[in-house]
Amino acid sequence: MRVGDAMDLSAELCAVMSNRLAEIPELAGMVERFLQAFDVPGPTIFQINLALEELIANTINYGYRDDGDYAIRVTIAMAGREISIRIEDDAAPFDPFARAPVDTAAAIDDRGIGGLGIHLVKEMIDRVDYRRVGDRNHVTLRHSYAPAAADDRVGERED
Amino acid sequence: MSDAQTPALLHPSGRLDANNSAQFEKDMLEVLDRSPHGMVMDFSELGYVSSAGLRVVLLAAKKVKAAGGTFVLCGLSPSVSEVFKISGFLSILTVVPDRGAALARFS
Repeated sequence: MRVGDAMDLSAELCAVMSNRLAEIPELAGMVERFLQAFDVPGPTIFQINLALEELIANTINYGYRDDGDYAIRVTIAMAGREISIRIEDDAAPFDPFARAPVDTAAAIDDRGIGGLGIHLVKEMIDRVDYRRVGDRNHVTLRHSYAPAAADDRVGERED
Repeated sequence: MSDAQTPALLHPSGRLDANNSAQFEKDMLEVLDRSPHGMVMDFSELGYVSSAGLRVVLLAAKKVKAAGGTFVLCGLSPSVSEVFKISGFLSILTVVPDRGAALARFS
């Protein structure tokens, strides 16, 4: 994974990872350290990392026609109390937010797991957007947060 | 507690994600093979779970139920619990606070 130079190092994180699931924990650690520097609360960091994993794992698992090496770019920008996240890839065109909602009220024997990851993203993140730009997928997430109070930082474990 | 009633126990730590859920599924199927009639998943050391982990939990609960056994989940942190809640899993799974309360379901 590469971490790119940003216009303003203090307010933007840019990382380029390859289409390997094994790189997701490394990305999560990088995102956690970056957001912690802005006093983003642990539960919000959890939600951001969950959204990143669900979207990126979807792309890695279903978006490519071969086992080749492809780059996925993740940019996180801080503006006031809003976190803006952009995920860009050159996988097959796919709007992750277009599919029908999952039935979370179904009984255990009727529950499948398909679509659950995207359901979590839509429920946890304030605003989500997809655009196909040229031969690339652009997924944008926007999420507001209240800064962690000093008391909150030691409470909950978020590995 | 007799051996027949002793549930399989899984106690993952750290992250349960798309990268390691296949290994967790393998571990789950192994312990279930030895003790098919009940299972406790203790998530007290788990800081993070994604839908890849939920998939294995759902699979385990279905398999135990099909064998006529009891599946109990315990030790969810607030963030992990939120993932289960949003997924609708809190209403279809037996979730208790800690391992003691989980094991009490088998006594």
